[in-house]
Amino acid sequence: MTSPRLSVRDLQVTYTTKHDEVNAVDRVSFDVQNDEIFGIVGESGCGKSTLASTILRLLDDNGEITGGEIRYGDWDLAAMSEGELAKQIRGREISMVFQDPNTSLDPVYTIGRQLIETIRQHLDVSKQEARKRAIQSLADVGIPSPEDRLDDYPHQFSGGMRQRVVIAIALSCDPGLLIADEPTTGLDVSIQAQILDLLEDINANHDTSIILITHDLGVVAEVCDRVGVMYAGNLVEVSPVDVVYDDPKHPYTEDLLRSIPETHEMKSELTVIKGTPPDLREPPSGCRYHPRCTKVCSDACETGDIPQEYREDGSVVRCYLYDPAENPEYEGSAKVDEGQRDGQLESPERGDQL
Amino acid sequence: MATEIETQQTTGRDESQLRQFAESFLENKLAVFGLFLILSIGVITLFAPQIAPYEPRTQNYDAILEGPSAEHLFGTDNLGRDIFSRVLYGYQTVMTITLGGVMMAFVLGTSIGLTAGYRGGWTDQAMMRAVDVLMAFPSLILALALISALGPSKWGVLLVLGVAYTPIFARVARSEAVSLREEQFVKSLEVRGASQSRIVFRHILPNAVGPLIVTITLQFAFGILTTATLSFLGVGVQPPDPSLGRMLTEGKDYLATAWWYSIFPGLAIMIPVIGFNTIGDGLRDTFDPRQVNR
Repeated sequence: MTSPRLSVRDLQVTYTTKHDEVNAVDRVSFDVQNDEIFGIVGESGCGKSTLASTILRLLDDNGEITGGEIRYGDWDLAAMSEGELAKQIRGREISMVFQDPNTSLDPVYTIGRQLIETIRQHLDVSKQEARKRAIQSLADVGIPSPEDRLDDYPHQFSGGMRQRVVIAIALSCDPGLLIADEPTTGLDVSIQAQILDLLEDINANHDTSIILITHDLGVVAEVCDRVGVMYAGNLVEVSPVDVVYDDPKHPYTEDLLRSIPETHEMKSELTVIKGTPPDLREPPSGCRYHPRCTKVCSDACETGDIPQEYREDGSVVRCYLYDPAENPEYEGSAKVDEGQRDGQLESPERGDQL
Repeated sequence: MATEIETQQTTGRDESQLRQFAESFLENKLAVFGLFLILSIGVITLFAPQIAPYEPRTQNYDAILEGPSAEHLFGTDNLGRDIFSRVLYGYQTVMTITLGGVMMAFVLGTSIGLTAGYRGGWTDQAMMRAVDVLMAFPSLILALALISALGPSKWGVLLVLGVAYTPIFARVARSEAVSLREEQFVKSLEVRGASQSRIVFRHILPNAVGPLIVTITLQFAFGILTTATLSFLGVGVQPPDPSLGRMLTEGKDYLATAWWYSIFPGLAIMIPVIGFNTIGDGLRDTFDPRQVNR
């Protein structure tokens, strides 16, 4: 197997405030493969945006990488100098698209100028060449008559078109990785779908992997290949997308899915996860989810230092449920037999049918 | 709706927006009046040698302290020099000094302010505390100190204006940069690997230009006053260069007998100051989207 496009290992990010240290990202490891769309989901404040900006080292002044590495090609982004990052990585190899397209563009310049500025900064091309590339980028993201629109100002575009322009700028230097931080949040639903289609299209037609950060599980289901679920700074589960929806591994993922209101059921109350997300200044000991977890299986849940390493059909889970030493009821092993596991989990359903 | 249009106006450089901006400015009668004053004075200043009926330094002992007449529009001074001509040349001096001084302050102050505001943290603290120290000196005291070190000359006054007004530009620029720094487009420029100087001078500066233009106009008014004040005190422009402030000083001794000697230079100082102030106020109103329904 070829090496992954991006490989994050034991990444740790700490924010220092006047009184406390906050571990916003705690020993997170994941890989993004070539040409895959990797989703990162989680509630607000779980550290997913911090994780995204950490990859490009765009943390605020009080944030700091306190451990781990971020491998991209031959580079370790966590240890690179600022100058090298700006020259080699940002906008060139890895670009980022933000939530609000309305403010992502400089209002005083035409979009053409902003595109060309970015292209000329990273690629050694003439003005004409850059202009051609800019037109091509706009065409790639589906902007009609790109030659004419090049000389328009951001305010002359609609929200959806503006997000396309932002994506065009991000793609103008053919990056290997695109980080999209809630790219559809500020847009209305029909436009959201278009932008997601566009991302899929880019992923299919360019050699660009995508990290899609969102709190919207529907978005994830639609476009992602694999999903990382974050809770309180931990990546609790990394699974292929169908596993997440059909057979979530981590209790948190399960609870999260259950809390999505279903349209065909008339329920008077929404299912919610009990309790509130923990205060990261004093995270719970052991598993950070244990105070809200319905499946606590061992004392170690409350005290143990859980590794993110339990493997279960293509998933990596940070939970003692999958550790035979801590969970006596766990019958599988790291390499579980498909049939056996399915039988075990689905037996109640079959019982109903009988 | 109106607010939305106005907001775009302050930021876009689009032609139609510029027109909207101009229209909104031209609606303000007082500001247009100010603009008219300044344009007239600009023309007078540029063409002073062509307009002036006499050489401003030529003394004429046959016409000492003559009142206003067809021959001497503003009368003559105690050495028989034509006051009208001297006012015209005085404008040249005071405008050169003010223009140079304010531009110097603009370049210095804006660079300091934008850099401090954008970088924040330690740089911000160090730069802005230095600016605060500078601001703590009354500008006249600062001027006197600088000039006594440099010796009185018009270049000294220019330098004084440049230094004394730097803090004002630095503060305005910083406050703009601090808010623009948080804008998403600045973040996405960082993400694209744009250099710091590019972000500060190519992207933050154009977005902060409105308040800075207002400051420039208002500082012009103050600059003219300060230049005149320093000359009045005798530490500014040195004779025989014609200077409005100096004419005031000399004329005050003859106030009882030759009112024209100081009244006309005084009015000459007043007019551009009023002009710049009204333009500045007008621009501020036009740049400020909240005052659209004024």
